[in-house]
Amino acid sequence: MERLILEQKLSSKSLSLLDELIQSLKTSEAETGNRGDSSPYSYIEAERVRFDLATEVLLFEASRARATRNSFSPVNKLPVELLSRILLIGALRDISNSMPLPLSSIAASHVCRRWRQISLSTPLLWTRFHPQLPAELASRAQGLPRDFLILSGSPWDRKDYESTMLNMHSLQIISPAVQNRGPLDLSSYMSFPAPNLTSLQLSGSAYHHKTGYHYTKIQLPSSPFQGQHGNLEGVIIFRCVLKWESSIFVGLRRLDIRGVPDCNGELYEDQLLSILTACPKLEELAVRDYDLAGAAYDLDGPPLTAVALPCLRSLAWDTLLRWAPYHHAWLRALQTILVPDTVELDVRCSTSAYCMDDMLGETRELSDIIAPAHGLYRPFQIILSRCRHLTFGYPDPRHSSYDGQDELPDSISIDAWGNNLALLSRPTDFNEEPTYASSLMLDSIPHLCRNSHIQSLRLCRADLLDFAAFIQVMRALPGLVKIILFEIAPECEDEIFNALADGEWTHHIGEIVLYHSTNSLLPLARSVESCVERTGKACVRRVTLQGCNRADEKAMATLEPLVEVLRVEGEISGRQERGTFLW
Amino acid sequence: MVNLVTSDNESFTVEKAVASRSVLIKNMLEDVGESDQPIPLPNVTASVLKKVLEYCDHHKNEPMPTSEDLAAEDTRKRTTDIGEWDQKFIQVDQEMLFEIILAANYLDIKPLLDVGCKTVANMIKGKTPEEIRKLFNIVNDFTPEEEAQIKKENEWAEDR
Repeated sequence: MERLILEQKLSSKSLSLLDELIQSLKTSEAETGNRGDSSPYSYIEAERVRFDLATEVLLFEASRARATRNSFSPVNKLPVELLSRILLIGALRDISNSMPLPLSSIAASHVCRRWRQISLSTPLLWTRFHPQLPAELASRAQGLPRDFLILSGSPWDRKDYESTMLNMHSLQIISPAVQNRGPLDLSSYMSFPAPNLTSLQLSGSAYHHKTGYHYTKIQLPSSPFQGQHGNLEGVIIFRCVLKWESSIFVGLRRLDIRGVPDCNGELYEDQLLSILTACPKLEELAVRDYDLAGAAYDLDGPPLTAVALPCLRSLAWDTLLRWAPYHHAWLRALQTILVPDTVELDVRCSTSAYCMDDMLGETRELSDIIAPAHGLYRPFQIILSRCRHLTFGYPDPRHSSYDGQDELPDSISIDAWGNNLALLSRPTDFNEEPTYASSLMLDSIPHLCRNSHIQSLRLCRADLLDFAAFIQVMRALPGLVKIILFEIAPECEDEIFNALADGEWTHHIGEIVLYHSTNSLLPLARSVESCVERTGKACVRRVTLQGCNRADEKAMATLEPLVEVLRVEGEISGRQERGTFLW
Repeated sequence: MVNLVTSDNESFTVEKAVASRSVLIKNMLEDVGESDQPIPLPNVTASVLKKVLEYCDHHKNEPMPTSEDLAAEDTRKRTTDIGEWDQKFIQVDQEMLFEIILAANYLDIKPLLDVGCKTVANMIKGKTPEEIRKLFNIVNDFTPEEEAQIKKENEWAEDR
């Protein structure tokens, strides 16, 4: 009966250990009965073995009880395939973050028995490989194609890894920037055939020395992977200087170029366009974090040849790191790429007011000329047609890198994402007339206001010289429902409030948002009141005040019966922030 | 409209476009054709289905994941980014989070399953095993032999 209870409660391993213990006790008893002359040492030793066995049974059973307890944890209600799917997200993140070890997978395998069992039986969690990885860990990938990480310059004997490299799924080579050295030759890492290779990342670094920033220079083999890299779909180049005419830039689906210097001619726009021409099935393109905004564009030079990318799904283009009106070649390159209107766009770049006007005009003409039947458009055509939220004004001077030298005063930054477009002008001392923001606003009216879908209009950090142009833009937008005045001079706000109630403009605004306003709001109250008296309806339905603490009590008492007044505490969110704090 | 009945016998009447975010329900509707018959969902409780339908309603006008999107799971193109609305939606207690994941898996709503799995992956990110145990109310249940092996693995991981 007792035996039956034990069999029900204990694991087979514990039962076997227990049987062993009982057998040992019986043997000991028999031996003691038979040979009373047995030495104390052997008796004690036999006792120790018995107690060790008992301890082992207890520990094993305790572990089993804990595992049973763990099965009640909500996370452990997930079936194996879902938990391994979650763990795989962490493993892939480690690979994309260039972690030398599969740290997420190691941590997961140390949580509890169930997690360990799942981790060790999911080879995809262990595909990270680098030459110094312990063999035991490396074997967990169970022959799957590996994700190689190589630190160039570290000990390396290609013969040891040749067979593994043939099965390479992705390759990341991280190279340091070395002062006064020629290019780092990557031939020894890229001379194997790599038929399974789908992704290649070449990462370097930069250092500052006398003449400016210097980047890792690398030299690719003349025939990378012996020409056998037919499955290569994605290439990431990060802070490297290299020769761009290489077979690794052919037939790609994903290309991500980050932090590549172009100031010394390492990557000109025509070279980039050549690469794109060689990748007609490109789906994702990211050109980001340039230290300069682009090589000088020769207005009289030959025009760039358009590149059609009909499969493109996402385009991230960030060549804006400082005011650089002459260096707007990247904008020209961007406009040379033809993309489908379904593409996800995220664009930041700088140009001059002159080129901006040129480009807006060109885009407007093109939208009439290029038949939509092509299904391909210039990015700016898409940006303008998607624009629902438009921003003008000036960036936050606290975030500006503008030093007032070597740059034209009419610099403009373009920031476009989702259905937002922000066109900010170079900071000005406001003593000049007209200001650059007002010029830009006036120049933009014929181009932007053709788009009747713009719903909200924002003005950032403008002064008295800008209100007239802003009012003109405001009146040219028939679908306008929201006006946002962002850190605006109070006199400028007053003029805009007056314009809202102007009898000549019969449009009613849904909401006006004042951010960090120092206005007493008395002019707004008067405007709303006069509009109600004249038309029986307020010119604005809601007034939202965010971070405004100078509002006059009398003004509030006038406003509140006529319009909804909303007070928002705290700072603006990151999403609202974009397009205002660019520099 | 489609009538869904949960495991705790609660009825939900929802637009076809909302219910069809679930591939399971979509296939069932296609199989039975036009019918007023309620669809039983024996693996989902009312409280969880309510959340799942909130998600489906919000995303009802978005294109369904294509076979290419699903293939992307294998080709490692997926990111760990979660949209702003989805992030707020998934801010629920752990029990509900895992119930949503299980329901999304059962109902075959890949984008929701993705949001759930990414959320859990983000919760684990950068944490030590002990921190993960604490987070999920798990205790160390390793046997002494397994503990010894783990200690060894930790030693060489720290050396790197």
